[in-house]
Amino acid sequence: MSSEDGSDVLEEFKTTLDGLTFNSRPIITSLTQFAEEHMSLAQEFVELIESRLEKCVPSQKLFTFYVMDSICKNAGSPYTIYFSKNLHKLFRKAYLLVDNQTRTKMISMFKTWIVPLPTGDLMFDHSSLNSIESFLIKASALHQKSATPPVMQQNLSNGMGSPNITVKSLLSDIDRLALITQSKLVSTPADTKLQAKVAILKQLRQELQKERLAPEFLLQVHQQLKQIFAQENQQHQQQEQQQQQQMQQMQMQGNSQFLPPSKGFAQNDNGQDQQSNGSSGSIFGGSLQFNAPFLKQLTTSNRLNKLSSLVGKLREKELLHEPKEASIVAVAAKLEPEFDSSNTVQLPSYSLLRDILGDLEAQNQTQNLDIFNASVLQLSQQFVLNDQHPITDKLVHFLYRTKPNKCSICGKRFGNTAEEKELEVQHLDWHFRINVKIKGIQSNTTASTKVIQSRNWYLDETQWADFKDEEIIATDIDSGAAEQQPTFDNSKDDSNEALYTKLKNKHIVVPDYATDMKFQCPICTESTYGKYDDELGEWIWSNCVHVGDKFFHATCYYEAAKSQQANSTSSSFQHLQLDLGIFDELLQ
Amino acid sequence: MDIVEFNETPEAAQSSALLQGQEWNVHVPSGAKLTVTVKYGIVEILGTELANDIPYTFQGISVNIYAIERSLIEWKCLEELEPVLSENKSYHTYVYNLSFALERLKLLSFNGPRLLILGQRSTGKSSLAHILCSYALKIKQYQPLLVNLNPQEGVFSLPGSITATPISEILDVESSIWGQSITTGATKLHDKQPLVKNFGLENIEDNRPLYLSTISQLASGVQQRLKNDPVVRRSGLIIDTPDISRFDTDTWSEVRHIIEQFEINAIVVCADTDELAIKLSENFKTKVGHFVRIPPPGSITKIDGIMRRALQRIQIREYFYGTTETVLSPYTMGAGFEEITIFKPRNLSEYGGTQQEIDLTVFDKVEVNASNLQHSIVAITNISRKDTQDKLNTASIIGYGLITEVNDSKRKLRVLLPVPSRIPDRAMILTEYRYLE
Repeated sequence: MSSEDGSDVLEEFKTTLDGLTFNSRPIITSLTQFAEEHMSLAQEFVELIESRLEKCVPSQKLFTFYVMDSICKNAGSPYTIYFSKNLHKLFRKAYLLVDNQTRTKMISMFKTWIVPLPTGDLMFDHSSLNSIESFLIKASALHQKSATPPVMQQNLSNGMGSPNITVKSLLSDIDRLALITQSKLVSTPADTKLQAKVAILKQLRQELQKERLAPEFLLQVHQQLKQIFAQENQQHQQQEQQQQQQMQQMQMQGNSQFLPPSKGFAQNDNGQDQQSNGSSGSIFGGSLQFNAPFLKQLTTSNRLNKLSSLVGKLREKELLHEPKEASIVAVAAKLEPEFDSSNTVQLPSYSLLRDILGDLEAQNQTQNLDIFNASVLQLSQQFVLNDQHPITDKLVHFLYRTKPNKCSICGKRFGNTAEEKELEVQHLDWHFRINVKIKGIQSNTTASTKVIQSRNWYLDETQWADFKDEEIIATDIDSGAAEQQPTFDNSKDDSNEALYTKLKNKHIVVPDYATDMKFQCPICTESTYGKYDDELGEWIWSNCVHVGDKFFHATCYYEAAKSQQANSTSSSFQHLQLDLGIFDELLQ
Repeated sequence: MDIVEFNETPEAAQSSALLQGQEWNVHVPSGAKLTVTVKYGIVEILGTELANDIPYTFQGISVNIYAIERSLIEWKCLEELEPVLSENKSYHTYVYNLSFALERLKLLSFNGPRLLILGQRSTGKSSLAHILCSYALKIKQYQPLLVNLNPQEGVFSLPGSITATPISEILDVESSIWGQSITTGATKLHDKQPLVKNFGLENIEDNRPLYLSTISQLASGVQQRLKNDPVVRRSGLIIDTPDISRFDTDTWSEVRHIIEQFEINAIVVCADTDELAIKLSENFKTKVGHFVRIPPPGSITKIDGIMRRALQRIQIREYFYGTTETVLSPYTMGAGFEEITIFKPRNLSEYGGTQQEIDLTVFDKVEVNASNLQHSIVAITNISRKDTQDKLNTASIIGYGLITEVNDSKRKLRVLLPVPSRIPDRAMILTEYRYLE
């Protein structure tokens, strides 16, 4: 099959699948046919179905499961293998989303999966079925759980060549069914469907007598009959016309291996209950090991045991709320936390409230307080060793809450004045840039290019005496604090060297129109390419100044301008009109 | 940060609630690691307020957390620690008073107060210096110049040095050397730029003339800086000193020297009694205007010899390798014996009683061999190894190296340098400090 064909088929399959917004047998059938005809696309089909199971609205999930169920039952492997993989997950997810009615249907469907195939194997992987089963047990589907093991047991013992199901037993079952139907027909002789049913039962009886049938087929018929009986019994009691129709529908398909799990099984469940509720002399009781009253009893005692142990456990873990007075209001209030919380106001945290109060108090205490005018503040034994002085209690706020904005990284405090706000912004900006730098270093150490940080040499006495700490704490990043290293070459004049460092630190962000990323200095005629500056996050030309419409090397410009100034006539760069003034800030 | 924590054995965090004015003290033994997070409230360590919800890590140092307000801290440590809660409100009030009084002096003059802190050992001198620096930063953008004259303590440098450092931004409470000097990369908090002079000996009494001369060197740099830098000038000096009993208390030669060299105008004495303050006041009344005595805080960690050694080891380690927060990479360089020149200061204890005739400020050349140099810390000066010896007295220190290996037979040695470079072609001075990696 060509890939194009494949994609066409997949497309069609997908469209059809998407159209499955209601329980439509024709659609399910056609999808099943697709799957049977294009085995090579099995994996893709499975993926499509699984993704629909994931994505479609909860009310439609069941139908998609039916598609899966149908494909697996009719096409079999490899679909069963593929589906086994995610089955328990999908089932669990869907189960939790759908309503109770659909859950019942899902459980019914699951029950058909644990019916062994003719080969003796189960349709799906044991482990995924087990995990679904244990999930269902947990999901408090208690009566389902207790009902399931006997079914399995029965089915296991009823496996291939089971002596319990023989043509003879089936025939007698059919006879009984025919009897019931005919008795119904007596009460409503006009019912054509009942007539048809009788005819079909007759036909089935003939088929069974005529042919030697494989045991698995017998088993199939037996299962079907069991269900019909259940329904019949129920209908017998309730006399519901509609269900009767469905029953007939099922019966018509009785011979088919294709077993729709939908309504038939759901009613089967009801039927079992009904059956067990009914007289113990149920028509079917004798021929089946399915002993309803006994089961019912077992189930009830199981349920009670389970519940009491659950309550015990909850109480043990203190998860159980036991109102002191057996008041429905108390219970209701507990069960409706939304109702509760809507009435109570959530208080902010203690620290937040404390901060607000503290800041306010600090502002209040330090109002009109001025250290300059407080002449009591003397550097004397008398004042310093006075631990009762009221002014200290007030002044202390200057160190803390008078500046209410605390840096979340280092704890430094900032006030509310415009100037302090500006400082805070700069401070946070500094932290940000440093963090970027630190992160950069860390991420680089894991990569092959290792950026290593180490201590700098200390400055010598002269350098240190000229050093300004603004270079460290400065918030504008052009300062070359980190680059400032005492050099071992003492030949250069220190101040000159510092100036050249500053000149070299001059830079211009590469303008947009510089498509080749370089500039040519008109003085030395050398070209300089842009380099990327990590801190700025921009491409820059270092050692560059922009004068008029030209870019110069800062050092070249400085030298040329200086010589021009010294000897204004002989300069070869006179046409450039150099102006030393642009370096005024550096020269200071 | 969280990811880092995953690697460690999860140890249940303990919480401590601190009432206003309470102090939480614990000594973290070397090798142990204490992590403290402030959950709410305002707490400070030696005047530096901690950020909330940020873990702080302490290794091998004493931690003193003071609650300004009711606070909750969460801490964990793999070793068993027994933190002590104490309350000493009046001490903190004294320090507040002192710092506000100093603050007013700064407002009244362009020349900030030049404060000398004196006292016996373990009387809270360094803590006080620390707190005063931190408080000064909080009020305004001051840059108080912190001077450490205790050669047994490393402040932004190694033990053996004396330093002067403008404190322009908050101190690093996690660091054993008060914070990092400038590095090639990025540090979490602002770097500081110290001026470093080397004394090199452990005990001042082993060579008083050299100590005085080193102080003079430092003071001249400081005076120059004060002249150039109006912010530092206005912020004033805070000078921390060694145990006063290390000084000559008969002639007061060191104290007098310090007062003259740094133009001290205020002295704070850390002592229980007035005795020392009275003596000082009698001697220096004419030079110094203010004398204040502050009783030592109750919660002081008494540093004995073993703890001092452990702390010095940590400081040396931090100088070369940084902290967990700021990891530094030192470089080991090899050199031939003939490529380095090492001097050492004279030590009185080696000369017996003949001290009168010898000049103790002269340095002696050290023969390069394993017994002299193995594992020792050397100060790298800024003067060329070919320069004359007398320049050593005025040399600045550009850094320290650790001689890790000396091979006498191959005449080669290896030096651990803080900076990636060749072994500088500089004269070096041998210190009395050893460090075995």
